[in-house]
Amino acid sequence: MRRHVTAVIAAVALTALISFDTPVRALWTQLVPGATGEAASLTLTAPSALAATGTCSILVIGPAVDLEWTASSSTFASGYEILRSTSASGPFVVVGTVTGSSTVSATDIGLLPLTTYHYRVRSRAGAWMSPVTSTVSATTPLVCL
Amino acid sequence: MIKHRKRVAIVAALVIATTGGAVAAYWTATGTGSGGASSLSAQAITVTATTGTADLYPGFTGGDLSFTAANPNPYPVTFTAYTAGTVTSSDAVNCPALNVTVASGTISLTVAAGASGVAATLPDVVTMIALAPDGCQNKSFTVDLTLTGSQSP
Repeated sequence: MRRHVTAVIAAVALTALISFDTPVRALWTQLVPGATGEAASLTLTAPSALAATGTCSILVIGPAVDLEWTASSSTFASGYEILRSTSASGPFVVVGTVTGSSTVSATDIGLLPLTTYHYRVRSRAGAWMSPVTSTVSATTPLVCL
Repeated sequence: MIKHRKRVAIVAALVIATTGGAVAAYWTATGTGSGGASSLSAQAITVTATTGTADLYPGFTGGDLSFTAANPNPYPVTFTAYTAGTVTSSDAVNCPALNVTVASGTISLTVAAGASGVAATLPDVVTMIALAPDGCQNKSFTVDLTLTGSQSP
């Protein structure tokens, strides 16, 4: 008789459990030991198609070199650095900066006449620097009137 | 003694049956389980870092965190929160990990029962500081995570 009562009570208890509105769920904290995620950084790309042309500066009326290039494909580039040397093999030093990735031209002024200059350009983004472009050369005119 | 045990069992069953509140089964991370209504044993879910789309650059605050998940359990699991821990740089010399920070927060990610290799991303949770050095280009950062989740209904 007691067994029968026990069985009935147990059945009632199970029925009540099954009919709960609250779904039975398993809860964890620190569920996944050793879980990891990964983030990665970009590479700042160099500008391309650098071109240099010897010219006369309108502003200072003297020899100059016009520079043009194609913008870096890195949209986060903040600007460009212009490097110059009187030797094709360098060393190259930064002679100017351009702010804004969409500004893709510059004029190097205050140069000597009839002198060949060599240029490279690279992108900047904060402290990041891209590789430099290929070296291009231009010779300034002898006379600027 | 046996009768006493029976009474205790019956009383316990009645208490559980009439509580009416949330009934939860708790499993540990190692899968040892106990519960009032189920006796499933949780198996270890694995979450492994994977290479996602690179998007970090100096000052960027919307970096993504990528991983793959595997759920060997016979029920789906939904993750609802994550806590970021230690960050490890792939180049600790030229780009120390302190150049990257990861925010903790909530997520909604369900991994199906028996699924493996489920690619997932926590979007816009990683920041690279504006002063990150040039050596931080093209690097990867592994982030320890603590995930909180539950068996999906």
